[in-house]
Parts: sequence; C-alpha cells; structure tokens
Amino acid sequence: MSPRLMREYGLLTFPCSKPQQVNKTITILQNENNDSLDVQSKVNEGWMIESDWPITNDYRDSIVKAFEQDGRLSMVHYFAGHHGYSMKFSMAAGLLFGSIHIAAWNFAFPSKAETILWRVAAVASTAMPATILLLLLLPDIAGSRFRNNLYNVRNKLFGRNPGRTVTDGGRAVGMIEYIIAVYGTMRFYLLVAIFITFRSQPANVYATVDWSKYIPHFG
Amino acid sequence: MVPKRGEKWYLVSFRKVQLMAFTVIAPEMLIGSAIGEYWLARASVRKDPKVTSEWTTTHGFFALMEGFVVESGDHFYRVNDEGILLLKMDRCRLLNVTEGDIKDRSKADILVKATAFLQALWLLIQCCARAQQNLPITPLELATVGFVGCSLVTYTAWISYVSEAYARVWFAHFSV
Repeated sequence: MSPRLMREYGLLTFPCSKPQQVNKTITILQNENNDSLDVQSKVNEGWMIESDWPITNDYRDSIVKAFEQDGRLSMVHYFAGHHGYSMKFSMAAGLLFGSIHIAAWNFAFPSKAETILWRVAAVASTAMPATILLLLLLPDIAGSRFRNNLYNVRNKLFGRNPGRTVTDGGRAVGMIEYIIAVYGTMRFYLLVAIFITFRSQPANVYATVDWSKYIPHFG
Repeated sequence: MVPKRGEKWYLVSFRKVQLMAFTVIAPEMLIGSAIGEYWLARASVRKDPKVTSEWTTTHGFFALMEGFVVESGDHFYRVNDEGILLLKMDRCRLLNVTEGDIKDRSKADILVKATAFLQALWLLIQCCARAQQNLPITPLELATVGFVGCSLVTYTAWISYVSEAYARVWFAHFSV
C-alpha cells in the first residue's frame, strides 16, 4: 500500500478533525501532592509560549488572572493578537465578504435613502478590515524609515502600549473596540436591510430560471 | 470551547447563542479564528511528537478548545500542548488519550452539513444562472452566497487532513 493511498484511506475514515460540541473535558493528570503551584506555573507557561506576537507583562498577568478567576481563557484571545495570522486572515475575509455586499450597488432598493444607506454600510464594512489588514501587513514590508511609525500606529490601534494592553479576562482594550462597535453596527444594518428590501421588489425577482424547474431539488 | 465542570446549562446555552449572534453578524471573522486554530493544531503535531504516543491534529484542536484538564488539589487547569510537554519533561505521568477518546465526545453531524452543502451549491448555481439570464438577484441571495462562502472556509479548516503523526505510525506498520 502506498503512503498516498493510505493517506486517502485515512481521510475517509477520519473526515473531521475538530471535535464538535464537546461537553466534557478529559482529565489527564490528577495531582494529589501539594506542589500545585508548580503545576499551575507549567500550565500558564504553556499558554504563553504559543504566540507569534511579542507578549507583554500585562498579557502574561491577564493569562494568570484568567486562570485564577475562571480556570480558563476566553475565546477572545484569538482576536486579541494571540495568533497574528488569524487576524490577517479575518481581515482578508472581511474584505472579500464586504465586496460581495458592494456587488449589490445597483440592486433595486425600495427607496433612495435605503440605496444610499446600503452603499455606505457596504463600503464602510469593506474599508475597515481593509485598513486594518494594511496596518497589519505594512510594517513588515515597509522600509526602515517608516517602520517604527507604522508600529506605533498599530500599537495604538490594538492597545499594545503598557497599561492599556489587556484588562481582565484576556480582553484587549484599545481603539479597536470602537472600530468593532462601528463595524458591528454596519453589519447589523446590512442584515436588517436584506430583509426589509423584500417589501418592494421588481416582479422579475419571483421569476424562476428557465431550466431549474426541470431538475428535482429542494431548498 | 468546552464548558466548565458543573457550569449551569443556561450559561452554556447563552454562550452558544452569543457565538451564533456573532456568526450571523460577522461570519468572516470566524475564518481567521478557524485557520489560526488549524495552524496551531498542526504546529503542535509537528512540534511535539513525543507528548503522547499518538498526538494528532484532533489532539491539537482539543487542547486549543481547552479540553485537556490538569487537576491539582481542588483546582482545575486547562492545559495546552506546550503545557503538556512541560509537565512531561517534569516526569508527570499523564493519561494517554487516543484520538478515538476525543472523537467519542465529538458530535459532528456530517449528514446535516452535507445536506446544507448541497443546498448551498444549488443556491450558487441558481445565482449564476439568474445573472446569466438577466434576472434580478435579491440582496438576500447575494448575502447568503457570502455567508456560505465563509462557513465553507471555516469548515474546511476544521475538517483537516489526518495528521502526520498518525500516518507515521501506519508507515512503520505497512511499508516494509
């Protein structure tokens, strides 16, 4: 059996790698001794290694605090720069997702105001991730003259400067919070607009594609 | 994320609703999270082959979901792959968890997802055909295509390849 074949066979037997909807943890070590502080420090240290961003003391403290209070980290740590790549991918995806909404630029909306609102919301929700993506990418490719300035802008945005980095529970607090609020509002409006647009649509919208009625389908 | 031990059911449900609302408002932001998770899970396989006799991407994902717990006194700590490695180096005897043990707890409904995927494919074909026949598309259809695209990428990151560590065991077994 060739390795490639085996790999394919393995793919068939284990199609899903990420466990879904798990409700119970697995205890892998039960430590009855009193050296609990040592175990705790090892566990904390483990979570701190896993990062490609510089880890500040505040961030360290927040991890320790999160473990003491909740016994775990919150999901937000992906978005708090714990893994720099994930942020870049999210922003790139936001750019694409936003441009899909821009594609509806000339669609028939019930009123002039709604057309303008849609366009503003679509452009804003595309421009925001685009700007952040640029800020994430530029410092690495810019010349040395601008690099420090760009880092400063980025740090201000994500609240990396000491004292403002992380408050409790591993959450980052910076300008990004306001951006998220505006972004969320735009997204929410787009979502609402999708449904209120239905109150008045051209009749053609209800016409089916020529051939589709000949193919059995559901949905 | 795996719930806390003894966490109230309504808190667990509330978190699920929270995540659902997040997915509806910004599905594209989950893509980065999923890809990041996939990367970290794969890196954990490449990094520590000696953590347990069998450490797969499933283990990596499970560690990232904070599913592995170390009990010490009356404290519970969520431990990740690096932490496990550190404990191993400290000569702690850890429970050997197989991939099957983790998968046993997973409730992946592949049939439901496959159906949803087929429906999404149908929607995509319809949209293309409508555009081709100059029929108008509603914003709902267009946005749904976007949503489907986002969840497709997210699920692809989660449904990853069988890890190298697992394959290595097999090679030793079969290739001679």
